[in-house]
Amino acid sequence: MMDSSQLFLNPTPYSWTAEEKRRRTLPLYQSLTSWHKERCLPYSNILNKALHWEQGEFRH
Amino acid sequence: MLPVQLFKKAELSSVPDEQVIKVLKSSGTTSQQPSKIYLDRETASRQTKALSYIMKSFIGGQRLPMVIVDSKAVIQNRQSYSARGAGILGFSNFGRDHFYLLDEEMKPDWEGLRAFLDKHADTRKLIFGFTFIVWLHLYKEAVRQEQRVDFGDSVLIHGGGWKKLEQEKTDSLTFNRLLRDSLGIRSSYNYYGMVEQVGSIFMECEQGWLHTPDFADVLVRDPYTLEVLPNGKEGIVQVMSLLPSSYPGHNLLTEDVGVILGEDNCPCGRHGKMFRVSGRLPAAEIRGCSDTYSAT
Ligand SMILES: [Zn+2]
Repeated sequence: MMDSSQLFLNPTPYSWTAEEKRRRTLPLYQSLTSWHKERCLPYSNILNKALHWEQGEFRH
Repeated sequence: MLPVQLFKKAELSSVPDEQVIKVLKSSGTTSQQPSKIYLDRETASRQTKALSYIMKSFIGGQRLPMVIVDSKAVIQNRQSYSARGAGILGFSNFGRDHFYLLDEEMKPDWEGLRAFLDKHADTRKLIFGFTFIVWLHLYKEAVRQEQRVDFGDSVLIHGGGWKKLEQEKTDSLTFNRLLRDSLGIRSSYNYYGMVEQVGSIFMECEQGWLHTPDFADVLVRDPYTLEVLPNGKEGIVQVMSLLPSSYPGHNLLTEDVGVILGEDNCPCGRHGKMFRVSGRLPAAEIRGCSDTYSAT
């Protein structure tokens, strides 16, 4: 089971600056998308029908 | 990015059934299907941890005597919870000696409340409830029945949206002032959150801004083009959270309208984005969005 929560759950949850947050969390969001695409068929179908979202869906 | 209303239409789970320990359901106010959110042990534990870190930043670490402005009946079924039940259970971790103010008919137990407040007269109290329930069943009832109650040293956490209070023309600041003047509730914090992202709530700070924690984020998009809008422009709120691995809820397009005002520069000292949510998209626009972006 995936548990990378020590990478983002810390007792002071308002500490990262924008730049730091982006650097730390963007890869985690992207890996969550892949995780769910592999495991949840309806989700994967929805994303496949809307490929144009994939680019820049988290903006950064 | 998934339109949040898809949780009403599809079974969205990323774990085998036997790993699901809890199912959360949105409150179906209309004839619509409720959303179903499947939680496994890991996701549920991350949600609890995340919420406790957020709460610590606002009310400190110790468990306070707690008044829950709701009925105990809401949390009777332990496998399947409504959004309200999930909220109550999530927040009750931060209190002790819980007192449920309302009975099954949503009538306040004033005698019970007075006894509770007497017992904890020297201690800070935590009060939790959904905004419209606090408004209708605590504040309005107290005024109507001319009940004199003073909560004393107390902090209220409330969420769930202002939609049902719109015709009353109450905003966050008025709400706080009225509760302080009539019930003695010293401070109130509103939060923005949804059953699709439990744990990952956005708390309103002392300056009146909602804040993103490190493990969650928001973007605001144009309702027609879905382009990300610059700060200061109002649009549809997109919410992101690193917590859910048992269901695909990490990146959701909501039906709410909001605006981001800045990032990392709130006078309260918290980093992250500062934003406000001003309401719901009109129904026609919601339908437009889901037709376009959820062609399942
Ligand atoms: Zn602030």
